[in-house]
Amino acid sequence: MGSNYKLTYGVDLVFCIDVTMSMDHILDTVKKNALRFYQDFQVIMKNKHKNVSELRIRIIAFRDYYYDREQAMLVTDFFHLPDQAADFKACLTSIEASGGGDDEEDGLEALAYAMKSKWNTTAQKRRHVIVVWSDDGTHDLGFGKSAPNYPANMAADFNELTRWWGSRTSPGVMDESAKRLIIFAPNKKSWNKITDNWNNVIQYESEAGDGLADCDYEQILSAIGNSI
Amino acid sequence: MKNEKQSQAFHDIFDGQFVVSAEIAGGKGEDSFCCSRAGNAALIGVFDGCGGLGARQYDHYEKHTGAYIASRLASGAVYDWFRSGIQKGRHGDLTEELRERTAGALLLGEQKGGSALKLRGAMVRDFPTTAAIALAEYGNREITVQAVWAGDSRVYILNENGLSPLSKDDTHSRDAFEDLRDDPVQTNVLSSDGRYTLHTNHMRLQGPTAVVAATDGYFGYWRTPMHFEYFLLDTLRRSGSLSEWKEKLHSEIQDVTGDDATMAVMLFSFGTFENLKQFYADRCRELEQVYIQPLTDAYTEEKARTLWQDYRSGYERYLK
Repeated sequence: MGSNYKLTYGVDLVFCIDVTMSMDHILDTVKKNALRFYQDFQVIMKNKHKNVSELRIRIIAFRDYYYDREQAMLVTDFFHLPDQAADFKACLTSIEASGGGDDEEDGLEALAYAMKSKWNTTAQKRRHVIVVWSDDGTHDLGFGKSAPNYPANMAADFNELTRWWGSRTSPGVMDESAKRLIIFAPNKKSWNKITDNWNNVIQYESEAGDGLADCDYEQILSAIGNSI
Repeated sequence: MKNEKQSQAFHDIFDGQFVVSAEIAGGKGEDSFCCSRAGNAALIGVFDGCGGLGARQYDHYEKHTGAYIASRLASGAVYDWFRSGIQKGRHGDLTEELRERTAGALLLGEQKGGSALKLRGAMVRDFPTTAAIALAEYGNREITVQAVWAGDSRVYILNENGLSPLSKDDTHSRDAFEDLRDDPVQTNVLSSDGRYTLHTNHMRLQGPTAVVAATDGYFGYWRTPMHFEYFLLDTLRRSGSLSEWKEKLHSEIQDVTGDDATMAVMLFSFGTFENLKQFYADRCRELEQVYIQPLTDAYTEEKARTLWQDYRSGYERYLK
């Protein structure tokens, strides 16, 4: 009795990709990694006998509000995989690097958008994973506030964004048990501050995951797939 | 002469101990255990290397993960601690002694393995593992069981009133029922940085009792906590010998679990296997009639939650 019961996992992945001009030389690699990421994640969950009943992916391609205005934040709804795998691939491959202005980008705004995704709340067990690829640091929140399309309900500053992320004692907008943040970015503002201070975070220090060794990649996938 | 008497008395009460362990991936299991008996004391311990936090692989350890190595280092350290206490006796603070032993072993493991610093963040720890240890000692004509733990592996007492944990998970858990749905993050595990706490709880055994230490692979993949207790007693009911019970515990968990699963058991005051079966027969029937059958007939989360609330007060009776 009860022995034929298997828990199911609902997995949501949000890919935040820096698509400014400086990413041009590695954007194809990032796209390949993004495509590979969800497939390899499914394999690792299967190998651990974890039954993924629902898998969804959303893309947030980010630049700078100040310089790129309407092109600053390109977001999709969740793609349901495997049914919408072709649509997801088409969307991902259509992304091109452009704009960006100065070195730093609006990565924190992208992260804020990602946190407020409509996460799966119905699966028995859940993983809500945000993956960021960027080759540079971030502006302070609100740097691009003068842009007419800058979101009115954005976190005012890093402290508020930290509250949105939450902690074990003070949960934020995401499910504390399910949330994970994977950062492929250099050790620059504010990625380093996030890595040092937020829970459930892994950072691979590099330019958008460039030079990521297979063993490191497997470790990252295991870290997301397993309980912590 | 006094020692001989005490040993004889412990021997009369202590029926034996065993471990069952199942791996998800052969040869890569991240659980470990220790099990020993000496003089007037017996020890069981289970250790679940944290594959999420300790996913780093180490060349020095043939590409095994930090989690794989950590559980083995910790179980070895606890076993050595127990065996070394046989001659000189144990007089110090148990949790502090165990903390010192395990931290030393894990730090040595890290020094040999080297640290891999390409990955950073709160989800990355060197050599992380849970621990759930039960030490049974005879003194003043009674057996005292002391549970020591960190993380979400558990020590349970299984007696005439059913199954109840003696340990409390290091998670921000609401209760054992919700844990099965939430997959809560652990707030404290052993690791080579030494930044962890070992908790303790104890009780005096009264009457026939099984002491169980288990990793979450055994108890964490059921619909309700009642199903785990039923699994223990139903497999016992269907067994004709202790070895058959062990075989069922080992094989049948693999249809349920999504993780490596390890469980160690110590039995006290049953005398024979038939007595053991007989002792739990009524409890097994009660579980089946009150909780399991109604949920098998028509399962709903609401009904499961209601039945859990009924079961809960008994289940949590030893939690401080």
